[in-house]
Amino acid sequence: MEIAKKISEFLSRVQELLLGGGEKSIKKQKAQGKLTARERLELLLDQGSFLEIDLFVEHRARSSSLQNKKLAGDGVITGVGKIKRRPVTVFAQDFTVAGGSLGQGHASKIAKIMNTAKSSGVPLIGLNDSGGARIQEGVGALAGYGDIFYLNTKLSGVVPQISVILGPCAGGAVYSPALTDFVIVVQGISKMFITGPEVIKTVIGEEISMEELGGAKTHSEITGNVHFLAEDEESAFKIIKQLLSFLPSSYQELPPEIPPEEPLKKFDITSVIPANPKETYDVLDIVKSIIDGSNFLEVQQHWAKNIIIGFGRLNGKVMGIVANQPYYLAGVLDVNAADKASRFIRFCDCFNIPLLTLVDIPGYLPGVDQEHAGVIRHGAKVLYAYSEATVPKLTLIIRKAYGGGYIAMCSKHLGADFVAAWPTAEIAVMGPEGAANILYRREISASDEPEKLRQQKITEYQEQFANPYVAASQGFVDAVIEPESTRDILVEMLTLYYDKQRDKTGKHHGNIPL
Amino acid sequence: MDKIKLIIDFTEYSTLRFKYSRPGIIYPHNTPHEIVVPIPGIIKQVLVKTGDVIKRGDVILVLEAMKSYNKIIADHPGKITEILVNPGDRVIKDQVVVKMD
Repeated sequence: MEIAKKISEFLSRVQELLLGGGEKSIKKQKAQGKLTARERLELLLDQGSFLEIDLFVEHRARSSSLQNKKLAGDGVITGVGKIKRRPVTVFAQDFTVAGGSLGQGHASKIAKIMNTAKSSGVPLIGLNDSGGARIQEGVGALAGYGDIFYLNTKLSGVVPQISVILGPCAGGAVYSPALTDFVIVVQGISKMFITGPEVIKTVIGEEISMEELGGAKTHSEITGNVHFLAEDEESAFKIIKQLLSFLPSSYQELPPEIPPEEPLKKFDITSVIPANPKETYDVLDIVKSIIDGSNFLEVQQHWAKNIIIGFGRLNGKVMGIVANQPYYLAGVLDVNAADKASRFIRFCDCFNIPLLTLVDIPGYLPGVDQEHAGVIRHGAKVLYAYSEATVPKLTLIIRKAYGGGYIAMCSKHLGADFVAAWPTAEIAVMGPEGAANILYRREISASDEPEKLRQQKITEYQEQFANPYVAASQGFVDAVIEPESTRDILVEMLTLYYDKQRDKTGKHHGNIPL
Repeated sequence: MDKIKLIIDFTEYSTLRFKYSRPGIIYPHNTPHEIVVPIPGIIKQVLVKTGDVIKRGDVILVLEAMKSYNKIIADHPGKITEILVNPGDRVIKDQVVVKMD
């Protein structure tokens, strides 16, 4: 009987803790259109797979108004579970408990589960819904944040880290997500900022709404802080499942392979690429006609749209795809596009994901605006990231590959294993018009018919240099290929290089321009 | 919303994703009353005239920049009240080229 009593007491303790902040707070959470932390875990994880850790942890706010209060789980639920039968570690901040505020106990729970992720080599998923530091715990709360940032950094490149923003996240609360690999926001629910509208108004007098300052749309389109924009919470969890299907559980594993599938889209180069090289087209049509099942998970779809990044499969094997998008800003490399591509390249390199680069780039974007925004430093990231990457690197030059842009987009010179070009490729130091104006400036200005001579020189240059054969004659392009055979050739080359020897250096780490 | 097929461990799942919107078309600086160019270049073609009633997605003009003809497309519906450029004009980034009401 004694044992039965102990068990029933245990169950009643658990029952109380499972209620979080209590019915009233839960009702409030619901009224805001938000799910509770436990409902979120239920939607995210395979049914019945969650094992909670640290349910009984209590807050450490001694000598304060909280002293005699109980905070269920100290405002965060942590544990291990499974997503599509693969183990993951998770934490979900519980806004119903003291606004999900972060105190020392709360932070130590998160730190513990992060260490579990590291030692067991499984991804970490954080569901963030917190008002920030718990003021009553003072510097202890700051210490908690510091510990989490430190571990986020230690986990970086060891296991994939995914953050979902499911409420207002301010101050310290946004830096942990910012240190992780992927951040997902939900329309209408997510808000992220370092200082909120109130503080901004008091300190510098600017008035802005929470949504405009740091809402889901702002971060998806303007700041580039987030990677996926979900319509609602449920879609956010679906995105996680989809994303994980492309990722290995740790850097020591290969990404999950599945049976190959033919692309759904059929290849018809003449319908994709316009005859006039100045006309634009949508490079996604080409991506989708190369990859398995035309199934492409685009990352940062709404930001720096002049470059496209995302995951797809080639012959069942996961690839990270980087492609210039001629449809937006002519596909130029600018500050944001360079940042977007570089971080993605480095992610793929961390987690053994081969890179496929599709090139159609007129160059780096010229202008005072870009120069003063630091396009040198940002553009250099792309050079660095591609040179540093030791995963298999395949490159396809579709059309334009001019100047520095040619070098940057995973050229042979930056260590590409295989560079193919279509017969439509134009690989040259600069465009025909610019080149003719510079090379024949004197002749043109001395001519009786300058415009006619200019056009003639442009045509001459175009015929002589705007093709793949000059580069191929020097071995900078490995093969000029028929567009119809692209997928077959890329599959063959991926198979060849898949088990490529990856050199490791003994240095501490490089110093990428940031 | 678009349904995308997802295969994990040989099992098929369906997942919802935002319907793929054609990119390249809408540049973020446009307001309901002004259309601006996103990069410096030369106006190749103006496809609207004063008084035209346009809808979201209509091509307003073609900007030759970075070796490409870039379509500048209306982000908002409205009526064209003023066209500030002609074909051949050189324009700078963020320059207002068309006004609407």
